Amino acid sequence: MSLEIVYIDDEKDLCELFKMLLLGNEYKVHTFHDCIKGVEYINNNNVDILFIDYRMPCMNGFECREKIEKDIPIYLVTGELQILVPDNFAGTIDKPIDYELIKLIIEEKALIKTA
Amino acid sequence: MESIKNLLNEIIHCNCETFDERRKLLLPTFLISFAVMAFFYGVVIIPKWGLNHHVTHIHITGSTIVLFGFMASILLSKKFKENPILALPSLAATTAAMIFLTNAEFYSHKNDVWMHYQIMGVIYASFLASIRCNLIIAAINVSTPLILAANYDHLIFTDVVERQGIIYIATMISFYLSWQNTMNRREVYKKYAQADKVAREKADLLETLSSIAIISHTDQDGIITDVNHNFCEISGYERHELIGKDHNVVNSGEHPPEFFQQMWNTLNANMIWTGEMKNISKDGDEFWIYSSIKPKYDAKRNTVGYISIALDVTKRKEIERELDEERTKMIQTSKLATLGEMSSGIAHEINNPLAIVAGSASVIRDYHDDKEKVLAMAEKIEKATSRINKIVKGLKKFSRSAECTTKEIHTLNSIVEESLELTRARAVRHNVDLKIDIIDPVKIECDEVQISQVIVNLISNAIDAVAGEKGAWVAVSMQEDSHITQLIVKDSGDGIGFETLEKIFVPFYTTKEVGKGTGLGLSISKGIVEEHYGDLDYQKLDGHTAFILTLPKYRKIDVA
Repeated sequence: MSLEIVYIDDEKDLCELFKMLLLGNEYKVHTFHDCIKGVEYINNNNVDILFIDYRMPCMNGFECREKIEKDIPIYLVTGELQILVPDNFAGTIDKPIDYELIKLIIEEKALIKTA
Repeated sequence: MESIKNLLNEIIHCNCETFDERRKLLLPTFLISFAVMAFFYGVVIIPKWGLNHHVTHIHITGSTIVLFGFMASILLSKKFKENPILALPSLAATTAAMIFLTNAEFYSHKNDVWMHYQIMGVIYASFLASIRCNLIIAAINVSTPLILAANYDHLIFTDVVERQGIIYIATMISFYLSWQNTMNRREVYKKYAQADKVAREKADLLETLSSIAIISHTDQDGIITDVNHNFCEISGYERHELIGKDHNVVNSGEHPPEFFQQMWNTLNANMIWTGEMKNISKDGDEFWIYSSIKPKYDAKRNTVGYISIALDVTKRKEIERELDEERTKMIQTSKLATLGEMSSGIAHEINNPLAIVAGSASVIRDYHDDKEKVLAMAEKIEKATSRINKIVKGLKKFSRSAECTTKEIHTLNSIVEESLELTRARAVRHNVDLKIDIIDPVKIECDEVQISQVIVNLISNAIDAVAGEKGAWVAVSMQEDSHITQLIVKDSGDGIGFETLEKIFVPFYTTKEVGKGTGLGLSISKGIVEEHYGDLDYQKLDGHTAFILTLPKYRKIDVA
């Protein structure tokens, strides 16, 4: 049972790195640097976990969250110093990104899913 | 006796200041005169001539006229000061006396009674003369007939007509001099009245001044010779404690010796020194005075001392200090607020490349055998670090103290680009489209940090103004002509309201919510730009809000 993970960030390099570092594990990784496309993909596919960047040109992470119709754990990835994260987020991951933490989150989710 | 002495004194030292005193002597004068006359009639005239003789009648009539003329002149003496015409009754009295006296002689023909008349009348006339005029006239009045009378039989002028003619001439001269003198006095009175008015005004002025001001007098060495009530009150010292000391008793030690040196230099140059000074009272309380010190001179213009007139400005000073503190606090708060707001955006700007660096490092660790990947990652790291570097550089400049301004030659373009770097994050966050239209590099001589601050301020304001609006944009463009270059920051807003417009350059004015802005931005920006011989102005361009920053172009000055 493979998990499907999506990462949305306007920074192309970060998307690339995200993919590289999580590749080879037991799950699929999709990254989008265009949030509209990302939201569209999520609403039309079976995604298990979503990571969104906060500060993006087209809309911010919160607005992006509003557009997602599915009930999945969504994590906010941000480099902001102070930010009040709404309840509809599962948690916050600070930038620079701790990929080990992301892996842990994914593994936990995987355990829940297989159980 | 005392009053007779006074009366004589009065006659001798007749002067205008003693009118009132003389009037007080009216009753004793009258009584003495009356007693003399009564004695004269009772002992000499009536026993000799009887009550019904015409000589007695002439006597009594003449004496009464003279006595009342004399009384009138004393009574009216104050009025004479203002109007010498009023002296005429006294002159008339003198004239009447003379006529009666000389007539009596004609009637009595070599009878020695005329002598008494003459002496009496002339003495009264002299009284009048002495009241209105001076002793010389009185002396002429008295001496001429007396000499003539006493040596009656031995005189050259033995004829009655000749002798009386001389008395007439002497009297006329007396009248003339008396009149002349009265007219002169009139001028003196006028001057006196004027001087009196001036003196009274001065006194009033001084009294009023003394009620509000802190006044002290010193001698030429600065030793206090007199202080007024206010000085004692504010300093807490008694008057006798201050006199004989110098002003160091209230010296607070606040001012350096140069301050006092400068003060003495001014005074020694015979100029008035004005300044604010902090003093200390007996109880150790500090007080501020706004003081004016002037040298005092003697007739030869030698400095004989100094006068200091001061006002208590302690309260004003306190308010000023509080305002100053408030202002400093406000500026500090504003700086912190700006920095706080910016830092959030900047953190994102830095954390993104940091994330790339960290990620790349992880990739290198995982794929260290894959040379191609390692190289690609190294490139990413380089790019990311240079991004961070750029931001930190800009930030370093921004936060540098504004105290030391150093003007150097820069291109406006580079400053604009740096400023955009610092504000881009804000634009992105607020969904504001940042349009940039920059021309070829233009050289300006400026303090890079300050101008950058101004531009960041303008762009941030523009972003804030349109944030949240649909299709919001901020356009930053440049234009130039032969002497100046302009940076135009225009936003999608439709101009500033008239009421707001009046106040946009006023310090601390803000339309932003509490905590969002401090209102220092535009007023400080304008100040900075003006220091650069430029201008910062608002205009409505194509129906949109625009701020135009004008700066003179750098021109190389040719040194011949």
